[in-house]
Amino acid sequence: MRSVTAALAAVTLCACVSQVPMTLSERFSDPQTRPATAPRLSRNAQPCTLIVSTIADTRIEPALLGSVAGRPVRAPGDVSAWLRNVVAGLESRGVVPHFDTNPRQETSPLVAGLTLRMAWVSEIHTSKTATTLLRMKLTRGESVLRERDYRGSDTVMNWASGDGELQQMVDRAFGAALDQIAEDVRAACKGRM
Amino acid sequence: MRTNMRAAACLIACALSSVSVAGTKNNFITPEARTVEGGREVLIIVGQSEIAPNINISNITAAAGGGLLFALIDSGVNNARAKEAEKTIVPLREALLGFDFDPMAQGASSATLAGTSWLDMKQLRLTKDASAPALVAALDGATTSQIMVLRYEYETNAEFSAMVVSLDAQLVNKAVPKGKKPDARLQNKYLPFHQVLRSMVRLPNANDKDPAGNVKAWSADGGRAARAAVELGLQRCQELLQRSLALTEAEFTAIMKRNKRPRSTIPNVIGWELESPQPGSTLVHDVMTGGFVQVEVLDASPPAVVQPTASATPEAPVLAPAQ
Repeated sequence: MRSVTAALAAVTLCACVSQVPMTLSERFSDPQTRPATAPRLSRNAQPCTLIVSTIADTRIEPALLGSVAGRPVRAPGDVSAWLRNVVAGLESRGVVPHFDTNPRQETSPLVAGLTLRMAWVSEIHTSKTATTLLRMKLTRGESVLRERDYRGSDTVMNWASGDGELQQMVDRAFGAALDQIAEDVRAACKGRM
Repeated sequence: MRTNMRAAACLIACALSSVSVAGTKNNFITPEARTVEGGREVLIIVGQSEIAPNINISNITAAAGGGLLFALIDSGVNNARAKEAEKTIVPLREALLGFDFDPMAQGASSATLAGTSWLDMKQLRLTKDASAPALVAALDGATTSQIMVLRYEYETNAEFSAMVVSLDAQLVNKAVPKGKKPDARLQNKYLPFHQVLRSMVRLPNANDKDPAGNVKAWSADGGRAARAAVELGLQRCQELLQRSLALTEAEFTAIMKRNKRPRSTIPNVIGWELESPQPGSTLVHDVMTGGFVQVEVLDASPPAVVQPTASATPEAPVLAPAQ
């Protein structure tokens, strides 16, 4: 009798995990992803200007990120706007991105070409995870300062595959990649590259 | 507080309901069910974008006989293990960048199914959408009365000492069972055929207590060993699929009886050994799924090539019961 009750409870309660496809918002919530021990950016520091020449997307199925506990997670309808908003998250990391413009008319500005190679979600038992992989080619004039992949990920407990928790997880994964990108761009700004 | 309680209840419920059920006799296809008019479309699903890690699941709740507190502890422990596993696997993922599993799975599946003439393979396509709504939509749009669904996964084991390639093969009817909802077609009891096949390829001289060391060994030389193991795993899954599609009811019944066969010593695989063609290589019957698991150690010599020949016979050797 006890096992029957438990099984019934399981079936009833599992209904609370939504299977309705979730579409991510175009907005990037820019969650705090830097560890508390990381050095803070000085408020008086000169912001680093970056011209973002391209944001390409080379994923096989750009409309889909995967599924978590059977719930499909889809990319926003306007993927370009979404990625632009994500890259704009560099601003809170001490880098001011300008999309295909050179407002200060610098003669030899820092230019970045970005490619989204991967953005996917999955689950590991009762946890869920998001992984992003951005490739950046950073140039100044004719010289390539850096070209590498920046991986961000976030693994958290899966409560109910809710919209908010999935959105936050993907945003944190992007945020973790942006942290590394910003670090390299700031170093390039200071001429350390 | 109410939200937290609801979420906790969801977690427990999901954990309880994830127990596999192996009551339906659909691990083989009877001769009369093999041919369907119009043939079969094939849908290949690879939901992941890169190799996935795995963890050993904490089972304090089961050991303690249940309880909300224990379920929460389990979830916390599992989450910590998942986070650690996601960190540990990064060098392997970096080494495997550019290793495209999807077309390999598509090519290997196509060759295998082409060699099974009665299946009468029609259109074959690959998707990354592994969700039930996507599968229901694919069924609704199918031009054949039955489709074959091949769902692939590739991952490491919890200790990173083995590469695991899994294939969940199903035949799904387009017609909705009378009086049921459209997604009922995906329930195991309505599937004409369902088989779960796995290949575990172990790293030679792996140390299960050194996950980072194992990852380093898999990742060395641009992930050469990992690539070879995944390719070999894919090939093994094709061989097991061919054998499964050729199985008769009598053969499967013989497999289901243990007959003093040695019990499986593979962690998380409950079953018995069917064959051990060479030292270090074992075929195990997994009683939880009714499927097969091929376990072997990666040969350090030349990497495997995933190209099962289209001419390979579908009438594979019978899995003889132990004497």
